[in-house]
Formats: sequence, C-alpha cells, structure tokens
Amino acid sequence: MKAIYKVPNGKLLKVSAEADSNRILTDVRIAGDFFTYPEENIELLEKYLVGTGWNEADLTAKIEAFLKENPTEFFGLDVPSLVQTMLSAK
Amino acid sequence: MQFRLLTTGFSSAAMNMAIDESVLDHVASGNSQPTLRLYGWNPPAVSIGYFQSLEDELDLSACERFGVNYVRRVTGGGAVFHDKEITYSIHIPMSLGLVPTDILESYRAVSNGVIFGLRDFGLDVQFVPLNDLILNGKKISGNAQTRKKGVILQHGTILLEVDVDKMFELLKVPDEKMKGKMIETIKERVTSVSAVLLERHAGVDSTENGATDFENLFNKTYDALKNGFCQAFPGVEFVDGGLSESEKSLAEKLAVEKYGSDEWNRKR
Repeated sequence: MKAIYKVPNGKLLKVSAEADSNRILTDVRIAGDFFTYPEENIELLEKYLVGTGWNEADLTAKIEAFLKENPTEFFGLDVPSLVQTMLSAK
Repeated sequence: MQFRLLTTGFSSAAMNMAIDESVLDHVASGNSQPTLRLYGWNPPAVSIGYFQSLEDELDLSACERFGVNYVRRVTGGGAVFHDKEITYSIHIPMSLGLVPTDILESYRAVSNGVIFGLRDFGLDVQFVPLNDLILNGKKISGNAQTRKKGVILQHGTILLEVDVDKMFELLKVPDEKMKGKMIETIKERVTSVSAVLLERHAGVDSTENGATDFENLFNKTYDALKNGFCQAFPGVEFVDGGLSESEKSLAEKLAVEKYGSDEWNRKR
C-alpha cells in the first residue's frame, strides 16, 4: 500500500506500508524530500512502527513515544501528516 | 583560524559524494583542517536525498540514455540535477562554535557564504528556510546539511545554467498527466546565474558579461563563492590545499564500495 502527501508548508511525503489481516503494520517505509536530524532515526522509526495498530490513535502514540526516546528534529514533516499519510495508504 | 580551500574539479557523482564523506571523516578525526570545497560534476548527475527512493524519483533508462550518473546523498532533501552548476561543501567541527547549534540558524549562517558571494554579481539573494536561496522569487540554489561525528557538512548547488526540460526527462513525477504543467511551473520558479545576467545585459554582446560561457561563469562564481565564504566567516583564513593521500584513498574506496553500489543507491 502506498500514499503520497504534500505536507502543508512542508515537503512531499511518500509512505509505503503493509498490514496483516488484523490491521497490524508489518512493514513501513517513509520516503520523501524532507529532512530529519539525525537521519538514521527514520530507519529506527520504521522498525519501531512494525507491530503497531494501523489506526490513528496507535500510530500517533507510537510515534510520539519514539520521539520521546529518540529526540529527532523534523523539517518539512510533522507527526499528524505522517499518521494521515500512513492511514491513507492504499 | 585557517580553513582549507579545496578545489577538486569535475568528478563523477559517486566520487563527489565519496570525497565529501572522506573529508568529513578526516575533519572529524582532526587529521584535516575544516574545509570549504568547490567542485563540479562530470558526467552530469542526479543526486537524490537520503530518504528518497531511487526508483520513485528517477527514470533510470533516461539516465542511461543521456549518460547521466546518479547517487544517493547522505543529506536529506530532494533530487537535484547537477549539470551546469557549481557545488560547494563545507565541513566545520561544531566544537569551533562558528555555526549556531540550532539547525535552521546554521543553514542560514552557512548559506550566507553563497548570498555574500553572489553579491559579487550584483545579485540580491535571500535565504528561505529551510534550505533554499531565492532570487527575485525564483530558486537559484538548494542546500542540504547533515551532522555527523561532531562535524557539520553542508553542501549546496548554485545553478549557473538550467535545463528544466532535460531535468524532467530524468525525474519521475507523481502524476504523469501533470508533467507539462509541472515543467512550466518549475520554469517559472527556478532561475540561474546565467539567466539573470543575460536578462540584465539584454542587448549587450554576451561575451561582455560572460553569461554564456560556462567555463568563464564557473570560474567567476568560484571566485565569488570564495569571497562570500570569507565574508560569512570573518575570522577564518581560507588557504588553498589538496586532498591528503589518506583522504584520496578513503574517497576512492567509498566511491566504489558505497556511492557506486546498488546497496547504497537503492537502499530505500
């Protein structure tokens, strides 16, 4: 499943995601022309999200928990846009 | 304080990114001075941002047809077609305190080198966060930064001439039906040093302003950037220097094993 979203006042976000029959994420890939510091945290976040429920509440909580554990600065990207793009993947 | 001014000429995409990483490593370990590098690309190339997918962004068969290289950068941001342009990279240990810790402010501080430099041409360029330099509402330079091993690496391109049609032969767009409109929009939103000088000197013999001679323009912009970075970092003396043997050796290894590899370029 894939989705493309232009973050308001930000960059172009391209997400691909796979979920199992229970709507649990089994794979996530977050791509685009945004910036994060440090960069490697996006790959850690992708792994961290595997096993998360494919719904707004679970995704938001998991991403926020990740950012608390792994301070990351986003430019051209924000958490609500990330969640909405993942949810809209078809 | 001394910085090395490193001129590496025109290199392949893989070698250009390999030199940037090798210099960063050597600056981080204290084996090389902080460095401003100025360079070009031969053959022309597309670099993609660290988070981009090669297959999503590039028409690889068009790249092959046009003899255009491709490479993934260590920095974020978008795909850039490197053809008639000059690129800088600057490698500054954060411990020197020359650049703000705040990311946005550090982009601004480094980008001042380009802004001050382009004033040599009478161009009034503005910094637009996070990473663009704009002239009369049009983009003339894109920049990208990473921080690794206590060193800020920022690299950026200054467009000397731009060929938007060729760029869109190489880049994929999300909606093919919109391609024509996108090309027109980008043409309206991107400019180049050459285009601006030609407009300014409309009716004047082009040999007078040097705008149509790429080599001449490259050399003039090289000098302008050198001046600009001197102004942006007033306590720094930029001294000509080459790559050390160790830097060359690591760059050659990285060019083959990392930046020339599918494992890296197709990693996302």
